[in-house]
Parts: sequence; structure tokens; C-alpha cells
Amino acid sequence: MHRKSLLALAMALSFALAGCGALGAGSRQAAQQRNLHGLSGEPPPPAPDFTLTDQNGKPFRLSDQRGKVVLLFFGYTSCPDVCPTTLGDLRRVRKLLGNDAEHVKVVLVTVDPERDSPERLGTYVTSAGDPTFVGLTGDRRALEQVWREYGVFVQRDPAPESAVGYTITHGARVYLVSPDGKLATTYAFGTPAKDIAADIRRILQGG
Amino acid sequence: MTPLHHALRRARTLVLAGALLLALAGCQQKEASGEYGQHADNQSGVAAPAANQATPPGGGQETQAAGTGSQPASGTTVQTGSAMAVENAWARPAKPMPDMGSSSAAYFVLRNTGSEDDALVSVSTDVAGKAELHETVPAQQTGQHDHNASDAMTMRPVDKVAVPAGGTVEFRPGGLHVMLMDLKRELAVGDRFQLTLTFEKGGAQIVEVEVREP
Repeated sequence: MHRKSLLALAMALSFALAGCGALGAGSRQAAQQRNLHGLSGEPPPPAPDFTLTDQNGKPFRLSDQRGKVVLLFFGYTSCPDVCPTTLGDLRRVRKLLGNDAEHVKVVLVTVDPERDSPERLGTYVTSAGDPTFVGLTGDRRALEQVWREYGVFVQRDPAPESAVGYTITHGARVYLVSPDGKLATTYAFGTPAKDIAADIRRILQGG
Repeated sequence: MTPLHHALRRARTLVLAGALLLALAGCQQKEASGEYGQHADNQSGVAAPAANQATPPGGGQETQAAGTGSQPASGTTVQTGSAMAVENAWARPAKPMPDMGSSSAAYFVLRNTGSEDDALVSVSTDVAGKAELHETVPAQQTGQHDHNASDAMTMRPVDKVAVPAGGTVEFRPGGLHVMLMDLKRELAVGDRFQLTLTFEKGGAQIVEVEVREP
């Protein structure tokens, strides 16, 4: 447990460093050599594994996706702007990839388990994304562990003056898990679909 | 494990955490996001509700609840000599969802062609139970979230959106938007619906919104 949190910290630290300053020059250079966009750890750490429940009520285990590229991000179905924007971007990524899209799994993990039922998540991700998209939920403990291990900030903000009741401030990065189960890179909100698609092509070609 | 081991581990964690904070503090502006962002910065006069302001303004600034108050008769365009042009209005498709209502967002460009400042104060539509002016902002800009929120985005209601004389304000993904809540029907690509925009000085204006993919 303690070891895990240390690992998460170290990972977060390497991401932070990769993104800025002289300290990060070495690892940024390494990431650039691999020509991936976003912030990459070097060497890429294993993506923390998890098992959650998909929109059909079936267990979804990340490590069962080996051989595919998984694009993982975090959101909730009452989110009208950021989450659908990311879903739309990732749908475009799959479109841009053509036949290679069959090797790409897009996965949204909820940050609002109280309001997001599996059915609701399913409708949400498949309508704003495409029919192959997966929406995951689980019990709060399991979800909190996933948020923590991926360094995703989640905070419920009351919005008494709004009909939404509360909004959830949440980390908006997209995490790219490579076919060998490594956390290859992470993208900031708004990273162009063509950049992500280019990275995936490179990874699928073994670049 | 001995207490010493524990202490050592804790120290290591602390050092790592400290280093992480320093690293993050050093690069808040690094890796700015790409396509989306704030078109409405502070200068564009977005007024957040008192709850969201760092320094509370004079007491109970009344929240302009979007909606029902100044609804014009349906189907009529109410133009009160407004010099406000509303362009390129569109909304995201959305399907009805189980358990609770589904939501969508509408976007447009406001162009104030007049010589007087004005502000959008509320929005309403027949297709949604509620329509509110919202803004997506990086959590760090709100001053309400700690540094761990460096990648996080947050959404906050806004009271009104000022459009200065001769100025333009763009609603767009990742920035200002109209949140449509409790949708009463599916919004499918190609659908059209009416949105009533009420301006502080210019009054109400009905615009046609096209449902499309971004």
C-alpha cells in the first residue's frame, strides 16, 4: 500500500519533471526521441491495473486489454462541456485511424459514482463517443483507488445557485496505455486528435 | 518493521512530495492545452456569482437564474433595437438518459455592433428544463482548489457575460457555454431548436440553434 503510493508519487514527479524545467530535459529529450505528444515518463511505468464494471454490468480489467492501445480518461455524465469535448476528440482519433481503430479502446472512468449508473454511462459514452466506447463505474473505494493511482484530482463542488446541484472538478488528462500495459504518455485537455492519432500509429507500428 | 523503518519511509515520501510540489509550482503554464480554452478571460467581463469570487462583492449579488422570467411569446422574434448579433449558434447532440435528465451545451458568438456595452444575463429554451450560463475554467484559476488540481477543469455558473461595445465574445468548448439541463427530448444531429437570449439592455432575442457535432 505504502509502496504503491510511493510509486504513484514517483510517477507523478517524473511527469511533472518531464513537462518543465532544466531538471526534466533528459527525460523530455527521451520522450521526444520516441516522438510522442503529451507528457511521458521515461521509461514508461506500468499502468496501474484495476477491475471495474462496464456499462453492461460486466467486469472490465485493464490488464485484459493487452495488445490494444487504451485511451483512459475520467469524467461524469452530468458534465456538458469538458467530457463530451474529450469524447468527441477521441471519437475523431478513432476515425482518423481507420482500420487501426480496432486496436484502440476508449475508456471513461466515472468520477461521480453516486449519479452515474452503468446504463447512464453507456448511453453517455456511446452517444458522445462511438459504440465501442466503454464507461466504467464501481464502488467508491475501488474508484478512489484508481483516481489516486493515476493522480486524478477529484473534488465535488456544491453549486447551490445552479440546477446541477453539484459539479465535479476533475483531472481532464487522457492517459495512453500501450499494448504492453505501460503508461506511454498523457495528454492535456484539448490535445488535437491528429496528434493522439499520430502517436497511436507510431506505437502500433512498434515505433 | 521497526519504527525507524517507518520514519525513513515517511521521510522519503515527504521528500518526494516536496519535490513534486516544487516541480509543479515551476511549470503551471507548461503544456498549455491545445484547441480549447478561455476566450473569455477577465477582461471580457464574465461575472462569476458571489460564491465563486475570491473577494465577495457587496453582499448578495442576485443570481440571474437563467430562464423563465422574460420568455417572449413562442415563435416571435423579439428585437428591441438590439445591436447584438448572435452568430453560429450550435449545440451538442444528446440522447435521453436513464435515472436523471440528460444535458447538452450550446455555443455561439456574440457580436456587439452597437456603441453601448451590453451583457447576456439569461438564456431559456423549450427543449430543456433549465438553461444556465456556465464557464469551464482550469481549476487553478478559481483559487478554490489546491495545487494538486493542476490538470483539473472545473465548471462554474456565471451571472452574466458582458459584451463591450464593438466587442465579441465567443462561447466554445472548454470555455463559456450554455448548459442545457433536463432535456425534454433527444437532440439529434441536424435538429434545430430555439434559444431565447436575454440581454441587460437589448432585451430578448430568439436564435435558432443547430444540433451538430463539434
